Amino acid sequence: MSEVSPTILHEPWPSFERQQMAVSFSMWVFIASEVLFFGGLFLAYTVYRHLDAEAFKIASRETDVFYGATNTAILLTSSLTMAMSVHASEHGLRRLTIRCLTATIMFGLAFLVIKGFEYHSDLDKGLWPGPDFPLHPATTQLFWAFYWIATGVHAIHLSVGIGIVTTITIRLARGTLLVKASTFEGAALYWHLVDTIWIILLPMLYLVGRT
Amino acid sequence: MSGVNESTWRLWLRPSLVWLALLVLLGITVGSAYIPLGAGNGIINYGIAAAKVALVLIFFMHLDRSRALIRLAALSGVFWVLFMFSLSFGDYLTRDWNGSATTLEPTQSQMGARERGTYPRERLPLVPRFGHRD
Repeated sequence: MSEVSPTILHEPWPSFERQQMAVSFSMWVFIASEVLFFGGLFLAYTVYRHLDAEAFKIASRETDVFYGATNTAILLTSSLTMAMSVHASEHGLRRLTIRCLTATIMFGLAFLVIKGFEYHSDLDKGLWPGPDFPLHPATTQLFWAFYWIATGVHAIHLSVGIGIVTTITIRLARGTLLVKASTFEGAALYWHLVDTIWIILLPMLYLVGRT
Repeated sequence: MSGVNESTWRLWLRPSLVWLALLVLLGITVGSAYIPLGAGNGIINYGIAAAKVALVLIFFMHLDRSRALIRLAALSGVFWVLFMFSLSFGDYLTRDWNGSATTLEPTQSQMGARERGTYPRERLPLVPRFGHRD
């Protein structure tokens, strides 16, 4: 690490290796807080599903598996390009890093667009909890309340991720961020977190009561 | 330049294999959801979700090459969530045994409000009711 440019190393770290360690460690501590945040949501879902499993099956049948599965494939692919951008940056391949980051942004935006179509179709079916809710029993509304909160909070997280990746891509293209900077690993950890949350949401929202 | 191209290709190899495995698992989990397996459906779906999360954590989030400190930090969130789930379900799953039941019915005071006509039943919030089994 002796030949690392001084602009990659920031205060207060004595070495680039220590700085990388700090980036990973602090991101994982942040991710642990996110795991507990979403863990609370998942716990509420699991408790209510345990109390009324039949209603959750009826409610879950109304979600659209096609949108859900397509979006999962898109997010998994975005994780591939994000992971590749980190590998490329570590090898000093600036152009490949920019290309992979740009692809990641595109996949993230594609997810949000498809989610928008899905939301539109859900609202057309009247699946917003309230007095005129089309499904019975009334407990089906608990599932749909979870659906809107969980996918909404996830979409906010993804939007933040798109903002972060866009920022570092522009900075890398302009030359204000060097290709071997430790920033990419930190951003990638956040992106993969958002992907893993969706991986868990897929069976909870889309795969219940399909048989 | 051939050296650069070859190393670029090598760079893609492992992440691409992980990605391929993730897509195969996605196909299996969506496909199996339509086969009636009873409790097996849930086990397969959540088992596959756990496998996919593990692949992302180990290979994309680089826990395979991380130091012990990073691995411990990564597992700490899961550790506390396990506590949250096991303590919560230690309660919910044992309520039938100790003579109390939990139902998703409106509470007594809400029912009273309905009978007085001050609150329509369909607008009642659904909350777990903790009480003795009838």
